[in-house]
Amino acid sequence: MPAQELKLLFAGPMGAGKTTAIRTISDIAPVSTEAANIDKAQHGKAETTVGLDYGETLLEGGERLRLYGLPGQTRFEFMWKIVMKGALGMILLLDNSRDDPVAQMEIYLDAFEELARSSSMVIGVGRSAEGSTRIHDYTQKLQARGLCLPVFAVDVRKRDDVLLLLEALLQQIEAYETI
Amino acid sequence: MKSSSVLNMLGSDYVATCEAALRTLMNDVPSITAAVVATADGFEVASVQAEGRMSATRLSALASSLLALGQAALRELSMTGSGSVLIENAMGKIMLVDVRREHLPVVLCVVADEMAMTGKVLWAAKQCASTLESRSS
Repeated sequence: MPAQELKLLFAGPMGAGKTTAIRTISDIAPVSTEAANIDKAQHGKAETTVGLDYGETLLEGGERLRLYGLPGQTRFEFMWKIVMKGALGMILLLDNSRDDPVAQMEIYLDAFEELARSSSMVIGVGRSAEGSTRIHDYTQKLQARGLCLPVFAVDVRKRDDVLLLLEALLQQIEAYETI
Repeated sequence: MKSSSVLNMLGSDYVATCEAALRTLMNDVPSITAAVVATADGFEVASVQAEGRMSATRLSALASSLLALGQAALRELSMTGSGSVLIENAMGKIMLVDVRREHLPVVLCVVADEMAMTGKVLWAAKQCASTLESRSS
């Protein structure tokens, strides 16, 4: 039995890398619910998550992280509400190469306001070298909303990058709990 | 509202085929009150209903998620092959059936009232799914 089990979420718009991030760090074969994507105007990828992703990873301290990936499209908002129950924190992934990624971030800040307000959220920006949005633009928007959440440029195909997000999230959660 | 991607990817002929198949299904089994065909990623392809209370757009998204979760559970237990999901309570039943088309898979969602017999609805839904599967347009 692990010392502690923590439920964490991966959210963000379609194609931001939620399924990939979970596959990158899961110790078990992840559960996935991908279906053929017909909405090529939204994103050109062949498949998209329609239910959830699930993976697990064991930390050195003995905590087991249960990782849940949410579908990105707002038409699956009902899944967000189901899966978010009992979640301790969230990694919000964004794609800097898309149109107005800051506005996309705001959709999730609104939908997961409680996690954002309790600092139980970190933000990972993918393809940060593409597009004209800078990391500073995200932090500025967060500050304008009275939020203090860390923003990292990441490549979720790299294990170290996903672990960095997880560590930052756990530190955020711990710091908030001790206030 | 049907997305333009649905028409582009599936074609208007297939949408018409789906609508006809759903009407036949509802005529054959009176306890079926609504039926929707959705793409596997949750867009409405066609829908019919006895009373205009249901949002086919929302039901399409729900149907694709629920069937995908059911299929994930089947895979987890190495139960290969196509699957279906039944949800029921005292007020009725919802049945989701996988329609494995070669080009683009779709999901059939059938809603039945409290009088419906599970076996009859399941049989009719599978017949309808088989029609949708065999037709390319």
